[in-house]
Amino acid sequence: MLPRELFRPKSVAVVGASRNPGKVGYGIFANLVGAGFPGPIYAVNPAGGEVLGRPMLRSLDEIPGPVDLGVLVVSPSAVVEALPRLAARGMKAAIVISAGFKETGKVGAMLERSLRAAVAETGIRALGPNCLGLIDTHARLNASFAAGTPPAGSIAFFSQSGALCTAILDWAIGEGVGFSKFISLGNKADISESDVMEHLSDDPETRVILGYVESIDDGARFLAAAREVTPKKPVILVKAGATAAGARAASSHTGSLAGSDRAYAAAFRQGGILRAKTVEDLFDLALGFATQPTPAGERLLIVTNAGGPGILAADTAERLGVTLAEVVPDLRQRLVKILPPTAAIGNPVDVVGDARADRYRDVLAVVRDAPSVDSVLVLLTPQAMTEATETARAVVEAFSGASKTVLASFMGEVSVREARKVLSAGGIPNYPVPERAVRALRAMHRYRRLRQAGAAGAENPPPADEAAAAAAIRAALAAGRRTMGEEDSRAVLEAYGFVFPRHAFARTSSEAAGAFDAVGGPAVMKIVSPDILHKTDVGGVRLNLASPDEAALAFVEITSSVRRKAPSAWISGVSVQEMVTGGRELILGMSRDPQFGPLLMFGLGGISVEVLKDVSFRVAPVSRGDALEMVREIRSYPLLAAFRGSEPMDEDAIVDALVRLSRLSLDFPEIQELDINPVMVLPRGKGLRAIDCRMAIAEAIR
Amino acid sequence: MNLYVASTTENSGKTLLVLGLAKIWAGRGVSVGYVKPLGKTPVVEDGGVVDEDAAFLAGELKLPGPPEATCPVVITQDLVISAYRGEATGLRDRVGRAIAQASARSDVLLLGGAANLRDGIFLGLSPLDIITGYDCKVLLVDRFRGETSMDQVLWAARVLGDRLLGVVLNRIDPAQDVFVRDMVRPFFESRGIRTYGALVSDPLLNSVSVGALAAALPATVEWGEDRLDTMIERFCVGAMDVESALRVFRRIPRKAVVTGGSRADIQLAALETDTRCLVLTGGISPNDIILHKAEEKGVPVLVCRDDTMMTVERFEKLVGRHQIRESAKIARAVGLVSAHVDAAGILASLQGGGRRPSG
Repeated sequence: MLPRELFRPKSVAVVGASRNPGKVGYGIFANLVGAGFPGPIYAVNPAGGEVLGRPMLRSLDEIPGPVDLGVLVVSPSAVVEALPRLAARGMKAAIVISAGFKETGKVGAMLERSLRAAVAETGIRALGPNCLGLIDTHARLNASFAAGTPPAGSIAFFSQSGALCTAILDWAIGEGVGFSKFISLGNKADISESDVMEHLSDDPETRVILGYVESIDDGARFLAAAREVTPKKPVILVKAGATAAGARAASSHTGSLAGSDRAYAAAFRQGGILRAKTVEDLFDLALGFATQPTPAGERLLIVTNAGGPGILAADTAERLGVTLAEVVPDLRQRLVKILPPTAAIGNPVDVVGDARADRYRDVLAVVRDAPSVDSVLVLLTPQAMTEATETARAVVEAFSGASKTVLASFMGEVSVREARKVLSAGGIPNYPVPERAVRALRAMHRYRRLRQAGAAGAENPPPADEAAAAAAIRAALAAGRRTMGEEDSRAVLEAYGFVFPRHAFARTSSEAAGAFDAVGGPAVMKIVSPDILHKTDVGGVRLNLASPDEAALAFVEITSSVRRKAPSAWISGVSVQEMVTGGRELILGMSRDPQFGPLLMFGLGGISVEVLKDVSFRVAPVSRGDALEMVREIRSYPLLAAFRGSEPMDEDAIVDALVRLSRLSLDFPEIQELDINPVMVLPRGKGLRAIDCRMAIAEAIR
Repeated sequence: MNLYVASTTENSGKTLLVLGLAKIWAGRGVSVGYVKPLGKTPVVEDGGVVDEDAAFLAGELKLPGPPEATCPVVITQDLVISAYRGEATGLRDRVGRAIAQASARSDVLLLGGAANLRDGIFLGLSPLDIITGYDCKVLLVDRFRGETSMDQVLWAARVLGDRLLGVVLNRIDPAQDVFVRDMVRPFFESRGIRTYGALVSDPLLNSVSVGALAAALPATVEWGEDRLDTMIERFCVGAMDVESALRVFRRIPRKAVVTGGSRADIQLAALETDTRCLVLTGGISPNDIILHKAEEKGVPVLVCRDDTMMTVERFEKLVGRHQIRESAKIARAVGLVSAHVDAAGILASLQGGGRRPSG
């Protein structure tokens, strides 16, 4: 938990305050004074003198009273020195503005370690270093060197980039968008995005949490925090470095390896975080969440004075999966009474170009009370008869105190400028184009569903023979191996409940014939070689073997082909396996993400994974609910359901397998990577058969 | 008693075996000598040309006398030209003197053979002539490669006849271990060829030290002067995207990663996994943040001027040689030979005057 004093101090000391307006130490002091902080603000600078008519204290010892919050703008080594002394004066929280830490290299990194040690020793919580500072509008605290203070409101924003903070702050001031808190995280030596999210979840002045993140250091902690916070209020994040180029830039910038974007996407999803792709998106969503209630249902009604924008809005709604409300007979009858015969009563409701404010007012009054509508989008294009400003007032009045979600898109610029101000003042979010309004609404729907789904109850872990798996992995590691092929990894997976087809090993063609008898037909034969990764490429696989003679011949063919195509490969022999038919090919996998840990993958085998990349990801642990989502999320999911007379596949067994895989990857940090490819899923009730598998292993710190 | 240690190909493990046997026997009070009749790795030391390999063994085994007492003939460019002109005479005498001297003061004299039984004929130093001329028994070291090995060993057995004491199979892939035990050894046994040992390929012996790597590339040590004895078993090239790089890096332990100096992302991925050395190419030093990370993890950083491809080529040659120089490798080599090679059996067969065990 973050100390109350970070946001609500009774007194603040600026260590390194300056009277030179060109310096950061001046900017911060001026902001603190300018924002009207009610408590004592102490300026400390060994040079003495005055700043903004207040005396500058020459040393920390001269501070006359207790200090709740320290803002440090001195050299990194001076910061490390000052912290324990301020702690001795009762300081609970510090904001370290100073740069020159980890971001500058070796010496800086050492200083940052000292900073962390000082924080740990004193129990102080510190923001930064290398940050812009912090603003709490409701406490009239502006402990930042940003240019100005935004209006008070209900949006909280945290950012790993200080520069982005200043840009957004500037925008907020210009647009009059109200913020509750602005938090620049800097290097995150102590306070992380997870701390901030947790704190904001209980902050009564914050309705929606926004953030910009480049890298998250502790993925598991972040996911836990997100799960805690998002049921209480929406969290919308922009994650930079989503592309390879972006990630590379982030790596050299922050010195930490960006995890794969799919791990972030999976973690955000599991944590209930809404992800904005752009900063514009972030604010569009924020505006909706900050000003409007989350819709009670999914039915949107569009009210417009022009056909074109109405159609665009309807198009976007359909594309994004936002349901358009049906105009039920009762609603139609009421609308018919107040609209001219030329009006089109559908969804959108077209009130026609000559609509003045009163027609909007009448229609909105009816819509507001319609039980068949959950949210309303009011569109307006400035036409000859249009009364934009008056219409804006009508919108505000119609919905003041109503529980419906309302968004507006008053299009244009000059003629709607005044109207926009009215909407903004009245708490109605306005978007320059209808598509952006619909996108914001879609996010609100998504949040509503997330919250409804709620937290899944604790589940019993699937049963597993941990000792057997441990023995197999230990043996491989002891032999100095880093990969476990099918023969070795089978034991591990069998211990975790995976079922393999019957199989037998053969070193000669006559042994192969014997193996066929043991396994039964039809059978599959595969080359066993430590040097061959892709068996089919070297003719190392034969299907549909029906007799011992065929098996013997297949042995000769396979081993001859491998000798020809991979002369340097060592041939151990072949594996004869019962052929699994009547199912569909799947791929299950796990790789370890540097930030989030085990990342599970699911997809349908063959083309859909290799060409279409139609796969889903989740961070372990996955619940049965998560696993079911993974299965249903892929585009090829219909192939698993009953189709064209074929039986539906055993979805339960897939879910079960994913949950087992999740447990396996958490039980054994030694497993770096795991592929079960292919796995056959059989019709409902018949389970799965793992056909081939491999693992990469490493000594792990447990 | 003279034991000629021969091999079927280069880098089979003759030095490993000589080193191991000599140390083990010396430990049992046997005085062991060593002569390498023909040296093929010339290196200038104190103004003279010596054989690198022989000089190393002379040092390890504390052999007396000047370098030429251990390796009487070292191939140099001058020697090769004079051989073409038919002027390379007296070589056989030099070899003879060295063998006679060493033989006089040891119970067992080990003769370090050439890469195969033909090397040296051109210089008048035919391995077979030396074996018969000095009444040697032969221990054949083979780097096991399936049927190719069978052909080589059977050919050598035919040529050597009674002089072949037996074979040691070396650098066996772990996946072939059981096969060697169940198929190969019984086969040799049935042909009267005794297998004195079978050694599975050892990651440490296959490794090179960071110091050796820096000297061979050549590269400057950006950080880690005090960690030049860190051993590298394999290397990886980081030229792909980070995710693929991580996948590959995770599978390969105790490795060096070769990548461009500007690829901060790949360098971080390497440091995230079991990497023993960063080799940065293109003459570009890493940025401060990376350097600091490497220091934190104790991973030496080398910078070389060449591009990644050339660096990799040099690297491959170095790793393929399996040179034993570092103390960790020496200790491992002796340990492996004493665990997996029947040194006492070899000595007994030698002392038995060449009597071959029956069956």
